[in-house]
Amino acid sequence: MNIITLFIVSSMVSGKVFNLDSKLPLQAHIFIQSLHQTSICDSLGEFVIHYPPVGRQYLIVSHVGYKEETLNVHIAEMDTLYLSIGLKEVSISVKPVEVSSERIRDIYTQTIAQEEIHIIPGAEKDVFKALQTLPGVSTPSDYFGLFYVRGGDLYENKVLLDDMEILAPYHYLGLGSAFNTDLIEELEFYLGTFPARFGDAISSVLNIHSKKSNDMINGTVSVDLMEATWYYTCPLNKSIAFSFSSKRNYLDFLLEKLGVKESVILPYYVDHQAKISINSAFGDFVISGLKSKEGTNITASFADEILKLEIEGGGNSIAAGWSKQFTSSINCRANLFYSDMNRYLYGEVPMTPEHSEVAEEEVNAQKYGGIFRSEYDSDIIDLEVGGGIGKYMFMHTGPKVEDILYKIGAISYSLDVDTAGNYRYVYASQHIALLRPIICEIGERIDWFPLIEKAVFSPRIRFIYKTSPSMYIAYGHQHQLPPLEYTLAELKSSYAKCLSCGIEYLVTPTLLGKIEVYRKDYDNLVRKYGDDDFRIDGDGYASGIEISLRKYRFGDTFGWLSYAYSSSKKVSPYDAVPLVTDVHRPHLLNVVLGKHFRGGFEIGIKYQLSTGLAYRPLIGKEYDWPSESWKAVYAPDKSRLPYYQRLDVHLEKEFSLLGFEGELYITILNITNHRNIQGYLYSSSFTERKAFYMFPRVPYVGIRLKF
Amino acid sequence: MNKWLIIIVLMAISCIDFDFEAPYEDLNGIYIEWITARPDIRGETLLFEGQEGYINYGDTLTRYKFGNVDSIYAYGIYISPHGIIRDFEVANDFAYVASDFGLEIINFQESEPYLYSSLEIPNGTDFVRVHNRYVYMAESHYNNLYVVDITDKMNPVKVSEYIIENPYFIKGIEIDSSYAYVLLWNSDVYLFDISDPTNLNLVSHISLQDTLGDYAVMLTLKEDYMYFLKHAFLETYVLSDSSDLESISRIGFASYSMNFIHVGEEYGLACSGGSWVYLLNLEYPSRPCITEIYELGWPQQYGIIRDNYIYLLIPYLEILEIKEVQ
Repeated sequence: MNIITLFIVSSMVSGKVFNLDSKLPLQAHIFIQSLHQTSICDSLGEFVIHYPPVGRQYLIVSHVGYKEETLNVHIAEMDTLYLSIGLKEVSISVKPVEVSSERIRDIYTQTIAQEEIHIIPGAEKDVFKALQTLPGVSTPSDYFGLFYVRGGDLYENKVLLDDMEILAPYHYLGLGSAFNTDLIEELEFYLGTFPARFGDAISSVLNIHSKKSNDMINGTVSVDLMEATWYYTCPLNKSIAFSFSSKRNYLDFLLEKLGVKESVILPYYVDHQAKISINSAFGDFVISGLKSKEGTNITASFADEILKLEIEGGGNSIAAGWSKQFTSSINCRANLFYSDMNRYLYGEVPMTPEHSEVAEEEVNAQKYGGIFRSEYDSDIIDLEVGGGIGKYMFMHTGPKVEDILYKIGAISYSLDVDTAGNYRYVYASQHIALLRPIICEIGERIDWFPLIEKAVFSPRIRFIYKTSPSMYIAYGHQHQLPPLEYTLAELKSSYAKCLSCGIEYLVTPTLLGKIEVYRKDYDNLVRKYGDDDFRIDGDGYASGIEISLRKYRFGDTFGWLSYAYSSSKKVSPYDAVPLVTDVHRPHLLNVVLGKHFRGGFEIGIKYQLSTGLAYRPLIGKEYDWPSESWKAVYAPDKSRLPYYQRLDVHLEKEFSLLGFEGELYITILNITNHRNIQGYLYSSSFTERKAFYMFPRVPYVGIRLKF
Repeated sequence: MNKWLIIIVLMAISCIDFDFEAPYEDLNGIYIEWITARPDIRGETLLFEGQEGYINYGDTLTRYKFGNVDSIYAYGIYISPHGIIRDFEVANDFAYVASDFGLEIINFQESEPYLYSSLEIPNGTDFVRVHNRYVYMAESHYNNLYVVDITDKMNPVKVSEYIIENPYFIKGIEIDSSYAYVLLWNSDVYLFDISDPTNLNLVSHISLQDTLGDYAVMLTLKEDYMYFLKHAFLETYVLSDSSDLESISRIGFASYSMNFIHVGEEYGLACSGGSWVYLLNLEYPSRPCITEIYELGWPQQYGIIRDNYIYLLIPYLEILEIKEVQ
C-alpha cells in the first residue's frame, strides 16, 4: 500500500474515493477506528479529516455495492496525507484495491511517478527525458537523455538504482538511459542540498526506485518505432518474487536491412534489469542487477565529410540488500554492491579535405563496497546514521573522442591514467522540532575519498517553518572526487557550498506552488592552464530562481508549470577562466500536462521554451604553418544559439484484445516542427557554415500489452 | 479499433518531415569585390582626414577629394624642396613630413599647399607621428629619436632627443597616450614615457623575437592592443599601465611576405608581397583572425580601409569594396 505524504501544511488526512473501473467519484464513508468517527465524501468523492490521531491508524472505507476495504496508515505528527482510493464493485473482486500514490519526501526533492513517465511525450521509455522537464534541469540536445542541473556538469550528478550506484547510467552519446521504465516505481531527484546520506556529487542525486513485486504474475511488452521492451514479475510464493525486464533498440538493424544507413549514427543498446525480493522473519532481502551493452560501427557522410565512429561498451551493476523493521521506530538496512562500466571509442573526423583527426579512447571504472544505514523514528526524535566502505578503480587512455567529434576546444592529446583507491564515509542526520512549527534538520557527512589523504566534512542544515505556506532555508557543503582522467599535481575533492530558500504553498491538496531561490559556489574545480597542464584550483558559481506549480496525479489529471531563471559560470578542463557552460540556459519554461479521459483515452503534452545553448562561434581562420593547412579561429566569448521551443503530444488509447489489456499510443515530437539549432557545421575552407537541427517533427507509434 | 489504427497511421505519415540540416550559408555575410584601378594615382602611403586623402610619392604630397570612389581627383600638390618624402601625418589641414631635411610643416588650408615652416634635423628623418602639441620623429640610420614642439607651427622647436644604442635600425614608431613605441628590425621594442615630452625617458626594452626566426615588419596600436606584424604572423599584445607587453594571440598567414597591416574599426587589412589581400575580423580586438581573402594577383605595399572600401597602393591605387552577401 502506498501513502501520499505532502511534507507541508498542518496535520490533515484527505483524499478521494472513486470507482476503480469507471473512475467516477463515490460518496463513500471513511471510518476512523480509533476515534469511532466517520467522515463522508462529498459529491466529488473527496474527504478531509482534520487533526487525525498520530500513529498507526485503521481507516475503513465503505460504500453500498462496493467491497469494503481497510487501510493501515501511519500518520506522523504534522503530516498531511492524501489518499486516492479505488473501490471495486462487490459483484466482481478480481484485483485488490488500487491506491495510486506519490510521496514527496523532502522539500528539496522532486519526484515523478511511473504513471507520469509513461504519459510524458518522449519519455515513455527514458526516465532521463522525464527528468529534463523539471525546473533547474537542462539538456544539450533533443537527441540526448543527459541532464545538467543548475549550471553543473554531467559528471557532478550521481545516479542510483535502489541506493545502488550506477557507473554507466547513460548509453554513449547520451542517447538514452539504461533503465526500463516499466520496472520503475518512482524517480526521487535531489537538487541543491542533499540529505547527508548522499555524497560524492555536487550537482544532483537521482535515486531511482524500482517497483516492489506484488502478489500477482504480470508483465508488459512494449514496442514502438525505436525500441522494444518487456517486463515480467512473478511471485514464486508468499515470500519470494522476482522481476525481470529487457529492452533493445533496433532501428539500426531495421535501417541496415532496408539499406538505409548512410548519414545515420545510431548505436544499438541492450539493457537487462532484474530484481529478486525475499521476505523473511530475518528481514527483507533484495538482489537487484542491471546489465547494459552498446555498440556501433558507423561510417557516415555529411556533405563532403566522411565521419567514422566505433563504440563498444556497457556496464554491470549488482547489489544484495537487506532491511528490517526491528520495531515501529527502528529500521536498519545494509547492502553490498558492485558496479562497473567500460567504453571503447574510435573516431575519425575530417578536419580538412587532406587531413583527418583520428582518436581512440578507452575508459574502465569499477566500484564495489558495502553500505549500512539505520533510522530511528519516534515522536520525539528522528535520527539516521550510516556509512559505507569500498574501493574504486579507474582507467583512461587516449584523448576525448567526444571533443574531436565536436572539433571545438578539443583535448586532443592522450589522458592516460590507471589508478585505484579505497573510500569510506560516515554520516548522521537528525530532525529536531525546535519551536513548533519550526523544524530543524542537521546532518554531517565525512568522506575519505580514494587517493585523497584528508577527510572532508560536509555539514548540512535546514530550517523549515511548517505552516501554510511553509518556508525553508537550507545550507550545505557537498564534496566530490574530481574526474581522474586529468593528471593533477595535487588531488583534492571538488566542492560546492549551497544555499537555498523557498516557499511552498498547497493551493489544494494536490496542487503545490513553490518558489525557490538558490546560490551555489564551486571550488576546487579542474581547469586547464596549458596543454597537458591541469590544476584543481578553479571556481564558479550558479544562482537562480525557480517557480513552479504542480498538480500531483491523483485522479485523472497531473502536470506542472515551471519557470527557471539561472546564472552560472564555471571553469572547466577546457577553459582557464569561468565561462558560461554550453548547456546552461538562463531562461527555461516547462509545461507538462497529462489527462485521462473516459473511454480509456489519455493525453500527454509537453512544452519547452528556453534560451538557446551557448556556443563559441567561428569568427575566422588562420594559417597553420606546421600542418600547412587552415585552422578555425573561435571567438573568446560565447554566443547563444536562437531560442529553443518544442511541443510534444502523446495520445494513448486503452484496448482489450484476446484477453490482454493494452495501450496503443502515438507520440509526435516537435509537432510545430520548430527548427531548434543544435550547432553549426563549417566548410573545410571555414568560409561557410550550415545549421544542423535537433528533432524535426517526428511521429512514432507504439503498443503496450499487459498480461 | 481499426478506425483508430487508420487514423494513427495517417497522422504519422502526415507528420513525417525530416529536415536535419540547413544549406550552407556564407559565414560572415560579406565578400570583397574589385571596384576600380587608378593608374594615374600613385603613392606609398594614403591617409584620410575627412573627405580628403593624402598620398605621398617621391618628393610629392598630393591631396585628393575622396567623396565618391568613381570621382577621385587631386586638388592640391606639394613638392618638397628637400627631396623624398619618407613619411607624413595629417592633422587639421596641416601635413607633417619626414624627409632628408628633417621636419617640414605644410599648410593645406589653402587651395595651393605651401611649406609653412620647417626644422632641419641632421641626417634627416624617416618616421613621423603627431600627438597633442608634439611631433615624434625617428631616423633609422643612426637610430635617433626626436621630439619637436609644434605649439607654434611657425616655429617648431626640438625639445628632446634620444639615441637608441642598437645595431639594428628603426622600422617604425607609434604613439599612444602614455608611451612612444619604437620598433627595430630585430623585433626589439623600446618604450619611452612621453608624459614629459621634453624629457624622453626609456622605461622598457622588450624583445619580441621568436624561435621561428621571423622578424619585424611593423607595429600598430589600437586602443588597448598592439598588433605586431611579422613576415608570416600577426601577434597581438595587450598594453598595460605597467609598460609590460603581454602576448595574447598569434595568427599565421599563408604568405611569407607580409609587408603592411592596417587596423580599422570593424576590420583590419593585411597586405602581402604575394597575390593575396587579407581582410581581418576585429570583432574581438584581442583575437584578430582572417575573415576574407582576396586574390588581387600582384603584391601590395600599402592598404587602408575607410567605410566599406579598401584602398590599396601597389603603388598605383586600386579600390575594392566590402559587400554584403545577398
